[in-house]
Amino acid sequence: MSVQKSRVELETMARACRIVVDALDALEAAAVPGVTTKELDRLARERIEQAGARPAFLGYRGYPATLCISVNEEVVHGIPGPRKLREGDVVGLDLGCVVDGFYGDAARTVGVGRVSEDAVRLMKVTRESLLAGIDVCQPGKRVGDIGHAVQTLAERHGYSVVREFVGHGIGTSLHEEPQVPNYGPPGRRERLVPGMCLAIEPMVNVGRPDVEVLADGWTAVTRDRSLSAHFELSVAVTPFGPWILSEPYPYGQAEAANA
Amino acid sequence: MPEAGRPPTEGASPLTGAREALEVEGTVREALPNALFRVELAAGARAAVTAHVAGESSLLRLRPGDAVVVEIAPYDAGRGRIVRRR
Repeated sequence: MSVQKSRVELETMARACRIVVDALDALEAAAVPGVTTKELDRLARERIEQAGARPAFLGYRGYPATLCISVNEEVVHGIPGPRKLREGDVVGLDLGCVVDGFYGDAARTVGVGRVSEDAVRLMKVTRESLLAGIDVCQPGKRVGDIGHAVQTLAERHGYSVVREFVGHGIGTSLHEEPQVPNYGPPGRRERLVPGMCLAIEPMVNVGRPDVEVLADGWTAVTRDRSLSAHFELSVAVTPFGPWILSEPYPYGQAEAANA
Repeated sequence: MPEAGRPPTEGASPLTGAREALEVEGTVREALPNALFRVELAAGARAAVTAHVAGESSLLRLRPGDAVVVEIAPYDAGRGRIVRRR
């Protein structure tokens, strides 16, 4: 059971999430042919620190960077380095920060220059599957309903969802209970209650769902080396439905008092 | 940043969530009516179970002392099915 957050705590989490999303905007603009993944990592760190926050991933279980950057068949947890991005690359950017002890976590996948139609479609469907998962976040629904919505949408387009990595509760730690898989039957797992915060993050592959982790101990790639995309947002469950924490509170002032 | 997933219920089917039966080794202790047997489970398992024979008629002639493999339903650890001799 994830810890329920108070309205004040949710506001702090919202600040953290906005800093992450603003940094992702800058990273997306900077992801052009020729830039190295290490340079994007430096930019991510600057943005987070200028905003008065602290990188969440740096040092997490020994992770060596601020940003996770996963190119093409890399699914998640790619470590920044000397690799130069090339025209047509599909780049997953995953970033987190800490503000006053609360974590924000978000990711998106962007194309470098012009990318193939297949890549555009994969990114579109993955993002839509995230939004379908978020839509489910009403009190009384269950964590399994989220994964079911994500999986149904992604597989309807002929893609597969990764099983080995899952979304998670988020708050005063980067990873809290419950785990939020992107697959599975509806009506199962933990019940959603107001104040719960979840990082929902579908990882969708063009080919088979299987992944493997490379020798660096972090970088996950599709086993069949097919293209993969990843989108993530941190969401609070409110009495009125989901609140994407990087966006303004969507349910008006009167309701805010009750949240 | 995604977390490494662990299955919430070991052996659960990713599609239906249904859990598979667990196979354990045991020894027949007593023959009961209706092709039921009381089976004492091998080390590690806690209780004796009442077990029905699955399919094969050769299993009907089980006697106390016979070594068998029992499938235990995840939702009722006191019952099971004898699936084969061992």
